[in-house]
Amino acid sequence: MGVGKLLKTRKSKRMAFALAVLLPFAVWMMVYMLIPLVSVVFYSFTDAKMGYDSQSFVGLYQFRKMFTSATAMISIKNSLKAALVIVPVSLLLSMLTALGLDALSERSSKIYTFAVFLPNIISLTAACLVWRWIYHGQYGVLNFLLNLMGIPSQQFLKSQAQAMYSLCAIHIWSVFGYYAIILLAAIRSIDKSLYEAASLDGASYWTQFFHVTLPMLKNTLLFVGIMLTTSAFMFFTPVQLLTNGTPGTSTYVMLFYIYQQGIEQGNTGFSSAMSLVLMLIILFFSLIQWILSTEREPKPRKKVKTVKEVNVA
Amino acid sequence: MKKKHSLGYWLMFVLMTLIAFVSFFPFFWMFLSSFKTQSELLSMPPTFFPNNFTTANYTQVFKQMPFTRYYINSLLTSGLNTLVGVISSSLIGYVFAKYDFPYKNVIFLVVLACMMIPYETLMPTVYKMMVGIKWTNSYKVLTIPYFVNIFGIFLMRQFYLDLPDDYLEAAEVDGCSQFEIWARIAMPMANSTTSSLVIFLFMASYNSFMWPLISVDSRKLFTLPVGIASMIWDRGNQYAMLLAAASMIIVPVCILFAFMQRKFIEGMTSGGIKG
Amino acid sequence: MATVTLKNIRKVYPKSHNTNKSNLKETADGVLAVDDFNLEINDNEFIVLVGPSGCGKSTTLRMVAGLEEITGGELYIDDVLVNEVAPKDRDISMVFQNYALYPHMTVRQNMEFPLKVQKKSRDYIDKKVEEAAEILGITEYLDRKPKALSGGQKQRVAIGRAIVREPKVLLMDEPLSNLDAKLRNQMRAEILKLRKRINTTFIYVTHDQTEAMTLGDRIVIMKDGVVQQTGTPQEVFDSPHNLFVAGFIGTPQMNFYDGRLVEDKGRYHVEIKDMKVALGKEKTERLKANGVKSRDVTVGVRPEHIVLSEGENVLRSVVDVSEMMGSVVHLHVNVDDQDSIIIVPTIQLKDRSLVKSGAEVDFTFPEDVIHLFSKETGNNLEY
Repeated sequence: MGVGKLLKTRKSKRMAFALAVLLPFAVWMMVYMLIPLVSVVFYSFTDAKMGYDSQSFVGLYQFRKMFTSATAMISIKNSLKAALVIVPVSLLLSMLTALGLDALSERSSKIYTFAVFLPNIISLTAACLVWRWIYHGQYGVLNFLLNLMGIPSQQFLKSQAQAMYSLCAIHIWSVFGYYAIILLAAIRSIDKSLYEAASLDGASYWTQFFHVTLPMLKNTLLFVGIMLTTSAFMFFTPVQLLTNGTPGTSTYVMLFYIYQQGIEQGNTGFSSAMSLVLMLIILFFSLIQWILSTEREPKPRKKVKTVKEVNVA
Repeated sequence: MKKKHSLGYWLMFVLMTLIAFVSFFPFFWMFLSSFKTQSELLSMPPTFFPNNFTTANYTQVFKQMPFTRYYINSLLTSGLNTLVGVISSSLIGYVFAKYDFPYKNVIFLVVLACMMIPYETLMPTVYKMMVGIKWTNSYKVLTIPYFVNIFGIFLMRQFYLDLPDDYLEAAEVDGCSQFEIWARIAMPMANSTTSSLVIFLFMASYNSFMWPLISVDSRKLFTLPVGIASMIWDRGNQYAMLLAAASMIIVPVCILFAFMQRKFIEGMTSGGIKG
Repeated sequence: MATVTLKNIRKVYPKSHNTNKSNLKETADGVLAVDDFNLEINDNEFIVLVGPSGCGKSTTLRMVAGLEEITGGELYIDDVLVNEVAPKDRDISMVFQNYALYPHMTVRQNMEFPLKVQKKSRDYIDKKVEEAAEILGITEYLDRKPKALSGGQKQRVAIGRAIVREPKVLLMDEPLSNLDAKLRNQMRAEILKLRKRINTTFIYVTHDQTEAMTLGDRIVIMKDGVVQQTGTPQEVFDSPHNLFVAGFIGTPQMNFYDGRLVEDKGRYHVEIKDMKVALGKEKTERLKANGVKSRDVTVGVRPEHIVLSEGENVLRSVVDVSEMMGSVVHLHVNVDDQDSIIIVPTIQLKDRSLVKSGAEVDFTFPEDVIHLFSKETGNNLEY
């Protein structure tokens, strides 16, 4: 059978099509995913520099350097601090918002959804520019409002103590609406008869929340928690735009430091080691949440079917 | 649970209003302030509505920097990235759903695992590689990395898994080539999923900041987010003008969102809700 | 119009593929879904493949369509070997069970699709679509989307899309099974009419023996991937080659009794319990030709061939249930713990008390309607 004939069979045509699609995909995956991933691991054990093709193996030198570098340690500490603020506050706020949106009538819920979801859609870069103006120490509207309430003007981004929290607030502001919508979709997919049964038993709103809503949202909450953790450690734009790590080193976070070292200084080896540590930290926190959420599962008295998240529509 | 007019309901209503206000206020404040003069901005107490309504800030944006260029760059790259991204997601998702090839499941698992990697951590190494092949400072580096989106592949695959084979076989018997089956039958049937993906990919590309910041340093290639960043660094004190620039980036998106709220939310959250 | 020849067609699925589904034979390579299928389909013939689900009938059809790879054997369309030819180059078209109408196209666009893909001229396409719509009576729906159509209308459109290209072979995969009973009867008649108007070879798959009997020029009855019998509806009804065919064709099902075939000096008779039925000349000849000796057999008799009788040489039974069907009455009777159905024309039922539950009924059957099956193989001893 000749090649020409071979290409005529259905099987070969299907194979050819699949290959035609998958080959470019494989090349892309290689270049933009797998090679960088392997490189990060590889470079972290070398003294690789930006713009140089050769590097030599230096063992754990980069890691030792990182753990003895004050700035690197501060950036790890700052990242953890940011995550510890961003994750719980966003989680609480988005849960509260989801409950609120669920309780509101359909029409007002739509307007409120618009408002809380908007920060998620628009460019964070542009939003930072607005926040920079709102946070302005002298003419910012936030200080004006504080003064109205009798609180003296604050320095926000210019204060060592406040800068980090001010930036976290921007991050929370930009993401919580997104998670609220995801939680809302999960809440709406809970079988209404569960609430009716609970009401008949005389359960109050909060009893219902803790005994029906929360358990049914477990999977979604885990997902939101892990996403939030990742995004908290990927905290970069506000730092880069508004403080550049200052005042002092109070807003140095890991990704910003990786950017500085890897791009601006060209220390690929060092930044790779840092990236690796950052990935491990994220993995670690994701695993912790996963373990916590599976261990807390009570012995099922009555088996309730797991609610699959449905579309918001 | 939803007893109206109870105290709890009103408390919730007030709280929600507060949350919504905080969410929306920055945009509102930005838009109002962008019509004030710089001296009005730098006065205490701040005025609410502009005393001297002016559009000079807007004209300044175009005068002081190649803002049109940024805009065109952003729209062009995002448009191209979305177009290619949607087509590649659809094709690759389709092949994963409807074709058999060796080690398909293992390969797909590897691809899925890549979705979990926070990509920002890989950027320095990707950049080093781009420097190595001299691709930095080009449209290539602003587009090709966005041509494949693993989440998009996942989303489209989910859709095609649920699509009965009959339609595709009918098309095949009707005389379509393998490509035509996808282009004329499968892709159009995925319309609603595809449009969600369009919004998702466009916003992801339009708003992306870190990669363009890293990979491009010629002003001619700046996209809007990088352009804005450079404005802050170069002319950080010209608040009125900066707010006008921000308005021009944000307000069109706001309006689009207002008209297509459901589609937008579907698109943006399709990862969280279906994944 | 075309002849289709299937020669020793085999289909083997890899082991992982829905294995524990049925009693399909397993080979070293996997599960044997279709084994040694042989059939010569004449020009313009209407062939029906019928059998219970999982019998391999759809797989066979899909192999003819080219949607399923042929593991072994040869498939010819008009004497051209097409085993390796892609579906679109086989000049066939197919109607799917759930219609597979493209939801994003109107009825007209659906119907012109195969012609558009072939890049026919606009005029030609319009002409063909109008013609097909005319034949199927769907002209007024041409601009609707499939979503707005009823099941029967969708089915017509699906058929319309299949006939516009004037294919050599028209394949239909359970086209009526998604319709309700009344519509099914109506569409069956429509397909018969359609058949007269277009010149095409039909291959039709169904699990419904009534459809098979009414539509097919010839019927192929399959079970577990193996052809049980091929023949005209009359042939398979009158002379089923084995127990399966006997039981599958005809409603209500054929009654089966344990009996004994006794050969005595070149003559045969059958004993069921106390009843003796001597076999006639034709059957005797055929049994003799096959060298059949005395043996235990399964005796099959169709319900409509049983006659109520009185006297000595009969089977005695008790009525469980009787169903009045109008022109006939179905008596479900019990013969020594074995159920049988007897169909009695209402007009012959003089003694009304017979239809009461618990009534005693005696019956017998003429020798020429008896089917004798081997207890071991289930094959008809006459053939």
